[in-house]
Amino acid sequence: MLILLAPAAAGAQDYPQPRPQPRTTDAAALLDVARQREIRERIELGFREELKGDWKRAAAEFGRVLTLDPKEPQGSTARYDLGLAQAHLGQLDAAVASFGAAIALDPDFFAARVDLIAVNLMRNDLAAARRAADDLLARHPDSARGLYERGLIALKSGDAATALHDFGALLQANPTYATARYDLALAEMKLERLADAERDLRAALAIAPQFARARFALGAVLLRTGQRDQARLAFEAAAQSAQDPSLRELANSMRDSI
Amino acid sequence: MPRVLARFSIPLAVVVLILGGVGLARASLDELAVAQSLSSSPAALLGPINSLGRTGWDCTPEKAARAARVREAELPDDTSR
Repeated sequence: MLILLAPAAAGAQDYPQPRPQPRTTDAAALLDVARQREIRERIELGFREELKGDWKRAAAEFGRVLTLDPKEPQGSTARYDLGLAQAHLGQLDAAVASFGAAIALDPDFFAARVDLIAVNLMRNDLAAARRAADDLLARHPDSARGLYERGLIALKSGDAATALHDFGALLQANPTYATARYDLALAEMKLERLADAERDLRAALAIAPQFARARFALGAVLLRTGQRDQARLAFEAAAQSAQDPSLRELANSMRDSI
Repeated sequence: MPRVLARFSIPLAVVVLILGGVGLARASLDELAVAQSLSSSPAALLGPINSLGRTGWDCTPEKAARAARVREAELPDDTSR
């Protein structure tokens, strides 16, 4: 039984509980104790800076931690936190490298995998974001983050079949998640499954009646299926519920153009 | 007969062009509406991890990354947009 559990325990990345250091007068051992203490302290300092939103100071702390050659799991954690600070500082290529290094040290570090997808999306590198999402879902197919992000990437890159699959799987576990219901409808629109799209948009609106984007998309589907009067009403409703002025303007223009 | 055809060919062409233009405008309007139906926002980055590390399900970012439920996964709610 213990043998069966061993690989899972290695991937779980629990820190060993702190124990009192054995007393020593050996110079090398003392140096190592001091180094371990500095690693712990600096990770904690960097963490607090990140909570305060001081990403520059946080990056400096984690950068220093990495010069101390931390063991696992501190090594992958410090790289993850450094990547987070770099992403917030707009250093997106460096953030990709940091998250990638964290994952190389611990392939089961799912938070690093999720943030690697997010940073690649921020860089607009859809191919890299897709690879990262595929890798995450290959290891953990139920991850809601993985399904949602890959669904979005697939929609943006014209892979409507994957988007349909991923939003569908996400909705199986979360049937009242109106945002995913809307994105599922977008995938259906791209696949010309207009009746399905109309049904899902109406379902999203039943959950969230003020969902202006869903009202606008419903107008698009109705227009496409020749239901012009209903489309006009949908655009009118979209304009009334839109918080975004540009969406309101667009919905009004669509209503007037029909 | 050819004279009649010649007499009406230009107005006929105009009518065909107008009808074609209206159809094109409708198609364009339809395509514009579909193109402007934008996908939802990507999820935000997960939070930092402290020196206590990723102790299984006690680590919030790791828990969010693995979660199957939307609320735990910290996914965005775009319904106010």
